Amino acid sequence: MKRRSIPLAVTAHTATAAAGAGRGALLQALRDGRSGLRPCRFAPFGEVHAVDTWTGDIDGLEAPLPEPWQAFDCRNNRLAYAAIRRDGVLDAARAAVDRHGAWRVAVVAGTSTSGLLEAEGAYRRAVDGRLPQSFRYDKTLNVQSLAELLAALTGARGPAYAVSTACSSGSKVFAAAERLVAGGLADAVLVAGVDSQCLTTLHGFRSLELLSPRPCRPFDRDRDGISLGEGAGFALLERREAAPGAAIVLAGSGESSDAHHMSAPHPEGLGAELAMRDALDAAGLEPGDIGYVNLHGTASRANDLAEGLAVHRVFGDAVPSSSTKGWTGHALGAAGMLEAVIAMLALEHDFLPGTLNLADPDPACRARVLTEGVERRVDRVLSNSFGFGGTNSSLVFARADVAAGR
Amino acid sequence: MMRCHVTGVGLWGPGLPGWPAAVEMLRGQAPWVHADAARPAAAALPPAERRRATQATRVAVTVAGEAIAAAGADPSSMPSVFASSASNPDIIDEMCAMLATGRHDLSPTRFHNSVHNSPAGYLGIAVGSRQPSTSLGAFDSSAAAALLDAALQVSLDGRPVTLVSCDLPYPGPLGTVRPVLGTWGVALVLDGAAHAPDDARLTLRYGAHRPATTLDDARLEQARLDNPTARLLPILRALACREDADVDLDFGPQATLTVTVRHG
Repeated sequence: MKRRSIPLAVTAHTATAAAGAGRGALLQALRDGRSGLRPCRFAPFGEVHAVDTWTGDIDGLEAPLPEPWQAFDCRNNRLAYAAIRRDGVLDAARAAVDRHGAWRVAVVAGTSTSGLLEAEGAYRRAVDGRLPQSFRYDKTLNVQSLAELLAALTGARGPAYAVSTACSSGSKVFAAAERLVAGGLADAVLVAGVDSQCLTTLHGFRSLELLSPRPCRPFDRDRDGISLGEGAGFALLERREAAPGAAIVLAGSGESSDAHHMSAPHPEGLGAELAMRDALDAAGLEPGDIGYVNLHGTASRANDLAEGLAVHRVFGDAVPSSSTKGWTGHALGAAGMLEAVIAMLALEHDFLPGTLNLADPDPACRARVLTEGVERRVDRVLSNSFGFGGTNSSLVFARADVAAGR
Repeated sequence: MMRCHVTGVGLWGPGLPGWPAAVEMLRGQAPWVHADAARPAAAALPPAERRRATQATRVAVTVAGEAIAAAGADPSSMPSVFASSASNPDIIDEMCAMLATGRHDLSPTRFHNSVHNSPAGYLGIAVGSRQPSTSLGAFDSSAAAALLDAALQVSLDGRPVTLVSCDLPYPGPLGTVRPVLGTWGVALVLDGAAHAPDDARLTLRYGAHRPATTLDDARLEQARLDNPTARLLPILRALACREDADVDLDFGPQATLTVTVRHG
């Protein structure tokens, strides 16, 4: 039986994706049906990598990080730095450090490729097998660099580390944070999910034949692959007693593994089902208590079928769900965080996003998937994220003013 | 403060193809011969996965298997925590080098093996566990971070957890800026209660930075500094010698994870 989670107040949150920078812009894009995907013309080193796919690349990351953060300079950290200053998150994190004391604020950062683009660039400029002097491995490529930057930006001195579990990273950070608070190691945790484009990701997914040549169509009968995206999102989680005015709580989280195959999900979504049921148990809830499910919904043939079957087994026909990757693309290690923030937008604004590009829902996927957005107040939402290696994570967020569970 | 017991240990290191060999060496009963160890068996991996598995995965599965067998635990029922500073540095080097020449035909298998959590994914397949698995990184403190999260899970959920830490060198240009020496893998099964009377009890405390605990033997001390997983050596030495110890592990530049090891 899954342990009951300690509900944590979400005292600040933000997300920046191709569809919008910050919560307001993202919500507007969701309401307007305005996608952030464009034909791929990624050109980090001059030559254009015109892979036949659409991607959600984020503009405006040309400026290097200012001092004293220069050593951390790489695309991933530039994106993190730009994003965390929106919606008051950096300010809130610094205030939490003041309020709780630096040692009581932890940082858990999800990323899959970190500063890999920077390393790719350094290899292109290598001379006699040596990389340029300017390349800072520990503050760019190494997976820890984001956590270290965030700790330095906020002044947090509690445990700071990276979770890197491919496409579930940005979701699993929430569960890790709950453990830190429940175990008495922290009173507040800044969780993050940041991932950015690089050649390895682009050509790697292409070689796996997982990229769609069109904007992705989650859960469509004709879906034919994913659209990659970039993203950066953050949430500040605190003990409820310390944040009585918070509007949203993380009510529970569930995690599981598929133990099936490294790059294909369990065909019936058994691991996904486990993660969802564990998240509900952790929150003390029944499936019928959930008003909206944000699907992982990558638009790969395999994921949407497996996830759809699993969602239908758990929630039946009653609970509306959607995939928002048609707006943001699949932001890999950031996806779980982007979609946690989108799920929270649904709670805050009484708006359930539809599924962009879904024209002909695949009946084989079974789950009730919204094509269009719906104006509706819901009290509790669930968000799924699944990754390579068969790693599954589900989160439940609830309005703070509604009893979180039995 | 968190508390747990060590009910099983697995190890792979230079010239150390298993925990019994490491125990002999750490007790001073056998000299440490830095031989290139035979390839880790990773017997628990199904043949198709074993063919595709990276060195890191083979080490992780091998040491986890050893620890789980020693603990007499049922691996399919256990969550796992995997740690590495960079789990597949050889693949990262290979792909960066290929891309730098203008070639874009990355191997799909090598690509999906490049994710930080790929050893953990293979481990889950090997033991058939649907329990949660996480993969962490914290640069030179990766093992400390994993110890922290694993101990938290044991304390909160009251069930055993497998911790696996594995680090190997970067070949090529990245190896010149990130010198990791040797291939080390360590696995610990941590449980809320002891199984055997001499199972060590660990207590963990996170706090302000203190100098990391060093080892008296010069070669062991060098190994500890040369490989992030080998940062666990002072704890392993205490376990091998059945001695009590207070071990300070670096946890980032400003903090320390103090691990007290008690026997009996």
